[in-house]
Amino acid sequence: MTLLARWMSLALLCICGSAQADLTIEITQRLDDATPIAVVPFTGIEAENTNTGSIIRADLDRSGTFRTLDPAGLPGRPGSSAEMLPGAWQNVAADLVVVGNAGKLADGRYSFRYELLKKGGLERILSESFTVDASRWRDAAHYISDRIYKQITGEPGVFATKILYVNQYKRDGRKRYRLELSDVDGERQVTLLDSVEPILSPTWSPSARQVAYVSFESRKPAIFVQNLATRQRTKLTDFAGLNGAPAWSPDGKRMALTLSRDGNPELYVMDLDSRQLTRVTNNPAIDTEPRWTSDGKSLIFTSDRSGGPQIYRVNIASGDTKRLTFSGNFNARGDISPNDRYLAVVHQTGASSYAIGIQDLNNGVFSILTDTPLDESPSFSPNSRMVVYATRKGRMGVLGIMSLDGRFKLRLPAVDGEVREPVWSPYLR
Amino acid sequence: MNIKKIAKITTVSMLVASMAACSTFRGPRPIDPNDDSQFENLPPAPAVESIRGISESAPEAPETGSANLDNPIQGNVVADSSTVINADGSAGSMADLLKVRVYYFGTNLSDITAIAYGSLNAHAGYLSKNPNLRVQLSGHTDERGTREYNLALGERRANAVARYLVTNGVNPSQISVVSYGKEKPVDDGSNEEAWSKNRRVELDYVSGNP
Repeated sequence: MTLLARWMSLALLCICGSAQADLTIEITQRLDDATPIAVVPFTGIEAENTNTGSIIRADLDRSGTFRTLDPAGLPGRPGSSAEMLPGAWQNVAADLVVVGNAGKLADGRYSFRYELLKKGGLERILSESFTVDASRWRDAAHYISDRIYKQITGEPGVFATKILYVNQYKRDGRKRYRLELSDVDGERQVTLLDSVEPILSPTWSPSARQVAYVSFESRKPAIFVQNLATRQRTKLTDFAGLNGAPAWSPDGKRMALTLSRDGNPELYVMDLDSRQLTRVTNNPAIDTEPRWTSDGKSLIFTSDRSGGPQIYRVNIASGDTKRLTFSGNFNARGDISPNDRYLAVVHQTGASSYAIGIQDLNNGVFSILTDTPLDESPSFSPNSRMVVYATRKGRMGVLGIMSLDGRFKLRLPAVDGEVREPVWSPYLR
Repeated sequence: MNIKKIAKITTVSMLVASMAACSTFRGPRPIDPNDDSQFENLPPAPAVESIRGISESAPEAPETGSANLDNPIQGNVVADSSTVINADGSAGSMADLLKVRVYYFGTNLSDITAIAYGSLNAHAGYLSKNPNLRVQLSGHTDERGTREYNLALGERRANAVARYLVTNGVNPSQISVVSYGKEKPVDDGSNEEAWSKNRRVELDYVSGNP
């Protein structure tokens, strides 16, 4: 099957499955040494007319690590290794085969059974069966993808994670804004807030049960916290001046944020139980866009104290501050990878162009990750392997996902309007 | 009076022509006749003629530009630092300067450009004579760079204008500042012409009481 035909069938797959999704997926680059794998359509039932195998196939293709074979070319549709005819699978163009079955129990729950096989079905690497509540059948498919990914690469997969982002759209000639989240494949999109005023700086709590963001609904920026299960909103800060860039501490008990109530933008840390504020920076420059290191002791942030925006790290207890970025005149909106190894920044590459740059915090090596001219808001996946960011396709704002080694990228345009400010969720429990 | 007005206009136009090459100032913001939001917080606008007697009549916010510019002064009047506000409130030029409500900035800068001083002086004078009036200054940036940093940069610009007004006699309680960063561009283009229109502080008269 030609490459184009396979990509087209993948695109069709995404469109069919995305009837209600706000994001769609376009794979734009994948290098040829991806591992071939055959994912056989699951036997048994199909929830919402979607075969579990199709979801797994799309997940593995989207990871950039695997290249799935067209199911039409496979020698049959066994649901288990026992059903595989001996010798029939030896000549398949992939050493790895996934077979499985989905069933529905009397109480409405779904049962799943799958096997990961090698060498034409002769060797079984992984085998599992489990049941889930009816509403979680999609999560079950992503769980299987995660298990396969972990088994082959040794690293946790992120197929079951979500992305939180802002959608700007037009109604009756006016700009409007929605805060939305969706599965990382664009499915199950949920709108958390719909407003005529801008929404910025969304962020996840470490438990992924809450989100925080900046909303201009009162005609000035204020920070809100929203519970995902109850949808209840609480206003966290609404001081005079800026209330911006909220970021939860890794233990979930504090929020770093930017306030200008004391004269100019500074970093503060708020204890979420007592609502007590501790000021962290104290200088006349702009200090904003804080993110926590994973030990909860330091913040990385943007400051223009040296003349233009650069990334600094401050120890919250001692106030010791160290500059981290030295490449070029503009580095802002840093995000630290969960393994603390990499810093992603918005880096100015030319008079009017901005790309995502990655700094290796171990050796200081700085490299440019993206090659599009107006990129922003990088956010690491929880396995530290990929970055989601905001970019442009033509004039429209779209999201991009890039693997850190630059080998794989895909684009997520919106169906309605533009999307930006993406934040990758933590692992979901 | 008409002759005086015409003479002043001529002076203004000549000076503007000579400064056009190096200025970042683009003149009064074009009013979108379809955008009703600009009229939300305005007290009733008096006709231009009534501003003449500022010290005699009840203080009101000066008239903003309107789509029809029903205005005895012809042409596109721009603010100029060489235009002097006379002690008697020289109504013609004062009204024009008060009509100017947008001030522009260079890339990454929050310095008020010299060409804005004339209009800012006019607003400072008007506000200090009318302590019941309040203005909101909103700071904006172009689309380049990150959102939160641009919120801070927009605030820095609005604060620069606020400080200038206070230095020139306005009570700080008459001024409120908000920044929209890059969230509310007037031009959605991705070129220097659009960006230069977006790097701005807007001055809006809001209702008298906080």
